[in-house]
Amino acid sequence: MTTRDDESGIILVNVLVILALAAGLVVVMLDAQDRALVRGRLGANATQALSLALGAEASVRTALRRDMTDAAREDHLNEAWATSLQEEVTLETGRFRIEVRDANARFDINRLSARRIEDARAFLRIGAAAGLDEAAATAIAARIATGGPVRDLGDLERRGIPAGDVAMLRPYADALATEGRVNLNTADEAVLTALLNNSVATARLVRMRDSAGAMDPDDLASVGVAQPVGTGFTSDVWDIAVTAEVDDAEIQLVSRVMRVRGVGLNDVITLRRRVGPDPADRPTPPTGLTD
Amino acid sequence: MTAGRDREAGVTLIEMLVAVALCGLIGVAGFTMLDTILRANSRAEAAMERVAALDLAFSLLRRDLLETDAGALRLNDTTLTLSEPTPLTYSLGEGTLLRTVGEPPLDQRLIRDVARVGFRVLDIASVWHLDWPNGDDPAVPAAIEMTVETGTGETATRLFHMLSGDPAQ
Repeated sequence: MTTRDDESGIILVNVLVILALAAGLVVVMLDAQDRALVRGRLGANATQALSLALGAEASVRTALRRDMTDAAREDHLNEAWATSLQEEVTLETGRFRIEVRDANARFDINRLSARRIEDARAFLRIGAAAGLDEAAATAIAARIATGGPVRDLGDLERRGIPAGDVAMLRPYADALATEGRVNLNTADEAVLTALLNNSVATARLVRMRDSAGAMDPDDLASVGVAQPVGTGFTSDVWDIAVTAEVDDAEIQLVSRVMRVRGVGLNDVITLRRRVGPDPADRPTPPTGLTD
Repeated sequence: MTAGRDREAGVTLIEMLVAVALCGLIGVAGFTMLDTILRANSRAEAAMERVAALDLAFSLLRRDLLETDAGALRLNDTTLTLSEPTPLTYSLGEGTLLRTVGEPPLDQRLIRDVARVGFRVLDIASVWHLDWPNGDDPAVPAAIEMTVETGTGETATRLFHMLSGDPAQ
């Protein structure tokens, strides 16, 4: 009897060891599958966030298109559509924030390719406001005048302009696909001062604009300045920055859209998009990785 | 006592044989079970890896196409080239789907063990093209289809919008 008991024990131990091994393997398997599920969920969230961001961009495009007929004579960020867009939207699936920036608020350096003396003078003043010396600003103007329009300011670096100069110019100038006029309603004080070439009148205009939300040609006349060449009160090119979040996935989408006017057909088209941070903000890869 | 001991000794031998047989049976059964679990595990892991690689490749292409203007699209046989804003190529090299970025080119291996990769361009007149641009045809691409056939015989197909092929426009 004693012998029989011992052997039954051995079989039990045998079975238990095998079961323990099997259970361990199953745990490892489940863990790997769990990680795969998490990875899949992250991917799905990122896709969903991107779709949200594209939806947000489409809603801004719709608002901009409607504004072309509702308020065709002026554009500024105090209009009803713009103020309602700037609030964070929370949906069941996620949330997004929209920031609409007026690309016509800055000087379009591609105007320099037409070689007009007023544009060149305005650009030299813009350059001075940006902190560039006259030689550097002249070099940029010459590159545009001889090499033609650029796609964006970063292209200037490829044409031999120092990266530091381009970075200083960024808050005051931009490169637009079609000849852009600076919108006096959205341009900031430094750009306005450079364009009007009259700091006292500009300060009064900015105060008037801040209290009324926008300005019109009468305001210019009331402070005694003429409307400079290459300026207007509307904008055709806008930058839409959307940050969309779904759970822990966050997507940043920056789109540049342009208004297209046609007979009976107004439209807002997307010129370009960028997903993720600005290339200038991206870390440079360690040396040795790219060669 | 002697008779009893003999009897017990005999029983012990039979018991021993039975016990050894049982042990062997349980051992074989256990081994089979562990082997099955291990096989299932490696199959599941391989499948999950393939799905993850496909997901990554599709989401990268989706983003690249969102950022690319339709004018910068070139499709030649099974090589898709996007020249703006950064030079980008999707191609099949030695059974691996490659995404070649920038200048100098940097290869990113997206999916291993790929038997075939196919691209098709759908223009806004709903005509499919295997090469793009299509001669002097001024058609505008609306979407791009990518088909990946893995070495294990699975096929995945996705359709992507282009920047200027957005249906909302």
